[in-house]
Amino acid sequence: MSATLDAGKFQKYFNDAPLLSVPGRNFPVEIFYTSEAERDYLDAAIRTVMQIHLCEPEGDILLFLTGEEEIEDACRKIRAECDKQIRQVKCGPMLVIPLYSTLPPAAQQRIFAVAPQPNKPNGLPSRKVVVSTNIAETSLTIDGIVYVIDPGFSKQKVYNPRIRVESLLVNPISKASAQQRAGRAGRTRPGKAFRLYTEKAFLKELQEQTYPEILRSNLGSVVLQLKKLGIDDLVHFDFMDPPAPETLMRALELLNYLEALDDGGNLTSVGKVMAEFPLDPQLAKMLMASPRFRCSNEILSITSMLSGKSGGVVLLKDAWGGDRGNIRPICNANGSLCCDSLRSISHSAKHICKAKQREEPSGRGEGAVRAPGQRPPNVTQRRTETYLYALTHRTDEKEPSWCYNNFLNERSLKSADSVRMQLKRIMERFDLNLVSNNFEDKLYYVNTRKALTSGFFMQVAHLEPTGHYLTVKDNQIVKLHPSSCLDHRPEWVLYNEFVLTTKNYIRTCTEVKAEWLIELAPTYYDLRNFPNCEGKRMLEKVVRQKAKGGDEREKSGSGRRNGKEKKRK
Amino acid sequence: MAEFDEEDYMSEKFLKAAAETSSSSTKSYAERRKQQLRDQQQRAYIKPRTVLEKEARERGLEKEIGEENKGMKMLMKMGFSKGMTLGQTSKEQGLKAPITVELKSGRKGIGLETVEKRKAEEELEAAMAKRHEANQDFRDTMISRFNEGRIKRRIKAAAKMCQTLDEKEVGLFTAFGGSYGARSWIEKDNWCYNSSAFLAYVFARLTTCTMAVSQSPQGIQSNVLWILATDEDDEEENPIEDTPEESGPLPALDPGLSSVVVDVKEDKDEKVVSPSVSSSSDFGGRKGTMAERKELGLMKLEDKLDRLVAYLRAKHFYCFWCGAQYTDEEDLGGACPGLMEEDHD
Repeated sequence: MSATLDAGKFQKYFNDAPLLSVPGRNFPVEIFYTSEAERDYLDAAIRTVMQIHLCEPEGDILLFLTGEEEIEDACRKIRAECDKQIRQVKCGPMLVIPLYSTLPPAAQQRIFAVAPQPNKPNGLPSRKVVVSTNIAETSLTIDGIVYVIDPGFSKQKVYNPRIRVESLLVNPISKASAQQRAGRAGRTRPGKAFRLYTEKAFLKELQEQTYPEILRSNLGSVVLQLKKLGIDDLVHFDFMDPPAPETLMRALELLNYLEALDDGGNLTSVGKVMAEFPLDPQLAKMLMASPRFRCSNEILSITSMLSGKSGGVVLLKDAWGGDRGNIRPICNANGSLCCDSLRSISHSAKHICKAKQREEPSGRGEGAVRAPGQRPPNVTQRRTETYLYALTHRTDEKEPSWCYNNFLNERSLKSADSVRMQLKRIMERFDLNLVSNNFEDKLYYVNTRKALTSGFFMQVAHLEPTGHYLTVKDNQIVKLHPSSCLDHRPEWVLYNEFVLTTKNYIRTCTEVKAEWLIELAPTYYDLRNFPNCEGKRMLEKVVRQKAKGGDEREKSGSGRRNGKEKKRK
Repeated sequence: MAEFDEEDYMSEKFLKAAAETSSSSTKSYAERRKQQLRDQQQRAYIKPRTVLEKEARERGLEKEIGEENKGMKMLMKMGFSKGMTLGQTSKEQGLKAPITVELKSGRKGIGLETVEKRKAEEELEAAMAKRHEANQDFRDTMISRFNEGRIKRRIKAAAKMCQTLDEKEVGLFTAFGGSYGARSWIEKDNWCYNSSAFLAYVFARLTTCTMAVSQSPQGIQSNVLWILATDEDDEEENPIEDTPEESGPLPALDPGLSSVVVDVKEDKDEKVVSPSVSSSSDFGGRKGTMAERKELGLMKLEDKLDRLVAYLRAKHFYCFWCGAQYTDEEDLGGACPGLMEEDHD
């Protein structure tokens, strides 16, 4: 049983059911605290690694850090420090391996490597150091770990309903989590855990348990599922951990604006179909609306990719010579969603083939030679094109070598593909036609983006004259995520996620028009209860123009000036 | 013109405007100008993006979702009311507000912030305490200095009043012509009080005086009080000169001098209480009170004042605090609120 699970709570919830404990095979772990609080936990961690390496008998080390960047940084520093020590005191070699979830599987496998041989027999021991996020805490076990270093932090995803942001921030871990981490040292033999904080801090500063996920997430799809199960009274529902009321409010609000629930909170016919999709409500709504815009094929592809954990296309890391920006969400391609890509997908396979031919000779070499940080122009777009092409047309090209040659992550491609299959079946069941617009149609892209808008109209930001994007209604200043491929800053952008990391970022964006917002979501864009901002004025202008347009049409084509003159008279 | 006439100059609008202008005019031009410049500067300052972002975020995170929200309305239809938590009421309570978002900056270890905070708090507290102490000290000295000065002034005033009242009474005695001698040495005392010969002189003089007018008891008392009054006066002036250098050039004599006064007063008090005491025993008794003198010389200023006030009341039915003389004891007891200064508030 995981040490992080609060068994007593479950027992109590299930009417004091008998508790049967099956203890795991665990050796005693000695726990060490620091005598004083650390000024810099990363420095302290690296110092501790070197101390263990020089002073302790053999055994591998597991160091817990918070994120990819920090882990890579730590690995570099540990390697450098170790090289220095090898020269000075002839200590054993050290194998430093990073571990985090976005690492490709091959690289993840390296954690099971065996520690190198010592430089000389009977000399100082050599060892393996795994620097990991908290995925090594519960998700997987690494044999041979004897020493655990725990700085006491992890990144936590927390949804906040007040400004509808998903924060991904470094937070202190819980006591249970610290216990679990320490336990990792005693898997193969008695071990030691080094906590980089004082015992007092452990007792006083850390909370007992990590917040359960239901308290930390957006409840949109949960509420839809509950409604589908026929639960009407969500207020007195017997939650094991009741979430904050405001989180539930946001979920109800979202579902109401998406027309899945009526004002009384009952499931509508639209809601019933939406609940059948194993997707976020926005994505489900988007899929349902797509046949109206005659772009269900395209939207289906986009949905299957967005619903994956990467929120888009994952390209192989090698593609840009180790450049960090390896995730290029599909909706980014050159500002107009995936329009450019879609063009190629559906209608110019030839273009793709040409692109591929152009690329292949230099192929992978091109990526490897390029300095990190320097992104090849347009490469994202091209990858997205090929990817979408592959998805939409289900060619036989999806072999490992094909993906590899096109810098695509085969695993995420395959998973997106299976999601697409599944969703397609559901769509067929509900008679949602799979159609595509004629590519030559001028409205081809517009329709696709309109379909997106019909699902994501609540996630829109407006570019204010000050140069900041403000999210609609919540008026939060946000920035386009650096991974975005928009080559300009459109006045209105629609985003898939609003995340708070070091800054407020909106991720996976595309351009939309104010007219569409008012046309597709008149209830949400009811300007009477809109906070004051430039966006509101722009929307008002659109509404006025629309009204005027209507008037003019009634007056059978009399021009604007004529209309004005008439009024004056 | 008609419109102009219709304006009500006592209306709210006008009064308010008038109040505003008068309040703004309390500031000088320079102050107003400075304020204006400050405001201008503030307006011109464009906050950096990060600050704006943070402010907006914090504002947003603080603000609860209101009742105008559609989700809130729907939840309320399900039986929710503000301030409630979700879940079954019998079980433990759920979250009231969403989990707070805290943006950690830097790589400070766990517990460091608390340690730093505590340290900073302690430092601040120590600094504040020190400042407070210094403030308090200063205030205390100033208060005591002021009080001392006030009491001294009062003693002086009381003594002067004593002198005038006594003089009034002694008018009779002056008519007898005996006062001349007393006056003459009193006038001289300015130069002779320092010498020990002065003491002898005083006693000699005093006895002769008392002897001379022994037939009239009134006269005896007036004489003593004359000395008392002038002596009080002198004594009053003396400490004022001497207090700055506490151990003045005449440490031995000073108490002696003041004790003369007190002693005499004591003497006279006895007389007031028991007029039958003879002058000869008085003389002898004075010697006995010489020992007491030193003790009384060290009396607190407050006590000296109390004594004077008490004397004035008893002898002249004069209340120092009322600043009025009453006709007799009954009148005094009836009209005067009390013995203490506080009674006269």
